[in-house]
Amino acid sequence: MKKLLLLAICLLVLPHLVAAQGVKLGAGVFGGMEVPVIQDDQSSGTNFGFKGRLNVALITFEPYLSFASYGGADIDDVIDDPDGSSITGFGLDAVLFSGFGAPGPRMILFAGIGSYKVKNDQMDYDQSNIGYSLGLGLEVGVARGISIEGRGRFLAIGTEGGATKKSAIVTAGLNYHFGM
Amino acid sequence: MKQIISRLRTLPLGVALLAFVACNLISGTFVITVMYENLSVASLNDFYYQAVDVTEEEDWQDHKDDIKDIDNVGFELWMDNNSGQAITAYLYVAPITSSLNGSSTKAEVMADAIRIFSLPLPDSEDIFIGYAESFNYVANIQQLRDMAEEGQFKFFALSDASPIDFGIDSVKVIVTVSAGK
Repeated sequence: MKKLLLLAICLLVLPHLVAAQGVKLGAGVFGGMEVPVIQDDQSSGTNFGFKGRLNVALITFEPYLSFASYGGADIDDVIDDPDGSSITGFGLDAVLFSGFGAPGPRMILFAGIGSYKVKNDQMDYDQSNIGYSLGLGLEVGVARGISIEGRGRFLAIGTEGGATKKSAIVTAGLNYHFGM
Repeated sequence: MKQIISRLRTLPLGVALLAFVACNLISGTFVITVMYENLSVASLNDFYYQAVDVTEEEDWQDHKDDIKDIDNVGFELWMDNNSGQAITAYLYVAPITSSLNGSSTKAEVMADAIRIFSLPLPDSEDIFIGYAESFNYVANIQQLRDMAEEGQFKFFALSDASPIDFGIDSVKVIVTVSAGK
């Protein structure tokens, strides 16, 4: 239900943004490291994904799809540690102050909401829940329509019981902006 | 002046970011382990019995009022099988409030407790079933998770034979909990 609601919001908002005057489009890829925060049963792993970019004035909206895998846990006092969980997510970020391909460096701030599936086959764990994230980064326009970026994100994914699974995510990315 | 105003514009967002991180840092996922050696043998010598209690462990004590999920319950077992043949050991659990205990009969345990593992034991004096490996043999894991919400449950181990034909040198119980405000 939450997934459908989120998807419906994206589908309702995005066409209006595209239809609005001055909307610019782009796309990007990113990859890096996902570090579990206060999760004794996980260790650091990888994160990568794809995103679209729609810029309206100061705000750039980014629908994204991300894939992450934690490393195997290193639990104190346990000899046979289990595998880490995988996280598949999609959602929407709102980015402030992105240069959207303009030359030079810019500090960016962003916040996002998404649906995340946390899965661990070995441990028979499988939950899909809403996650929220906040972060900051640096985006640098390096050529006409092309920017590179580095971002730090704090992500909190809810659990069915009401707790959260948290991660710090550091990624580097490459963006292309159409028509520039 | 413009620069100052521009920087001030980001201040509320920075504060919001810090508040968001701070609020979430008070919750987390914790792994609690407790080890038992010299398990009790039932009066008729046909099963092992142990009352498991993680509520005295530090992480449980620190977060007991905020536990939201039991993510998992697993075991590490050091066992031996001197029966001269491969056998299967069965692990059962019951709520801490259950009347089952070391004085119960094997039939009562099999009828009233919940079987959570069927472990194949080769003929060997040195058998180790690891935490991750143990999930290959698991059944009724959700019932075990539900039972562990109290931090206490009863554990039984038996086989098809009476008297019991395998040994348990020690058992480590591993409980993963998620806590949050």
